[in-house]
Amino acid sequence: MNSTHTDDDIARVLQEELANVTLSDRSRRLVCEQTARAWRSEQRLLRGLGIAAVAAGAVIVLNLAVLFTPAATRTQRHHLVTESPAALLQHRMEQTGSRRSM
Amino acid sequence: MSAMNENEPQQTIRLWMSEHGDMVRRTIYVITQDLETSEDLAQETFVKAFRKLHQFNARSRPQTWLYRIAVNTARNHLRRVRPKNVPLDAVAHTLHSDDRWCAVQRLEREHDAAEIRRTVATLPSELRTVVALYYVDGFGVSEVAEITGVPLGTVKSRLSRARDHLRVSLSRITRN
Repeated sequence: MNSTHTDDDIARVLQEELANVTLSDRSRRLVCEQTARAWRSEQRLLRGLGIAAVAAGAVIVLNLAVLFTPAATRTQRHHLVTESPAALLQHRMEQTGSRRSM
Repeated sequence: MSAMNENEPQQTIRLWMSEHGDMVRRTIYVITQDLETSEDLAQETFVKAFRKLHQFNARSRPQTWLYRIAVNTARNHLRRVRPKNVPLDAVAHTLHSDDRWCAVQRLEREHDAAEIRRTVATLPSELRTVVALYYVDGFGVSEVAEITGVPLGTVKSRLSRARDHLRVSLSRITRN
């Protein structure tokens, strides 16, 4: 085996041999297009996630608001919302009566 | 290779492609021994790099990271398909289409090139990978180890085996 050929010789021959192998303009364009498409869809996804996060945040805030509202207020509201119109009228009359007696 | 601009991944990939596009394709070509496939896989490499850019660890060199993707893409391809034997004449025609040299010089050169190609083509894919990274891309042995994910000693022994084959081939050319 001839050992006079150095690594530099091997590198030079191989590099010369491959000098005409290049990445075509078409390939470069295709990569740019694909990355641009991927970037746009990623941005859309992020926007969607952002909206979902805001909505989830709003739900959490509402839940916290309910949680920290005093229990008496909640019961009163519960009465106002769930009871029948007649019961509601009765309730209001009682309230008015109690105010008058004061 | 320039530092990565985190805000503009597309521009980063464009920059890497302009700096390394040709070399990445050459590396993949040496590993796969298929011109057409090397073009497709080079594209795939850059698209993968774009998708994985957020995983890039700034402690390693961008170049090393990019070539690791290229080598893995080529390896995966070889696992999927059988290596295709490209007729040497077809490759020679593609590689030397310009007519700068006179016919005799070109014939001699193509003969030498064919000899080198034949030698590289006969190497196992793991030796071709080391040859591509060390001789074609100019990476150091430790970087080749990092890119291929094999121990330094293994890289050295593979390089030594490949070197022996290539020296024999070059000697044959010199003798002729």
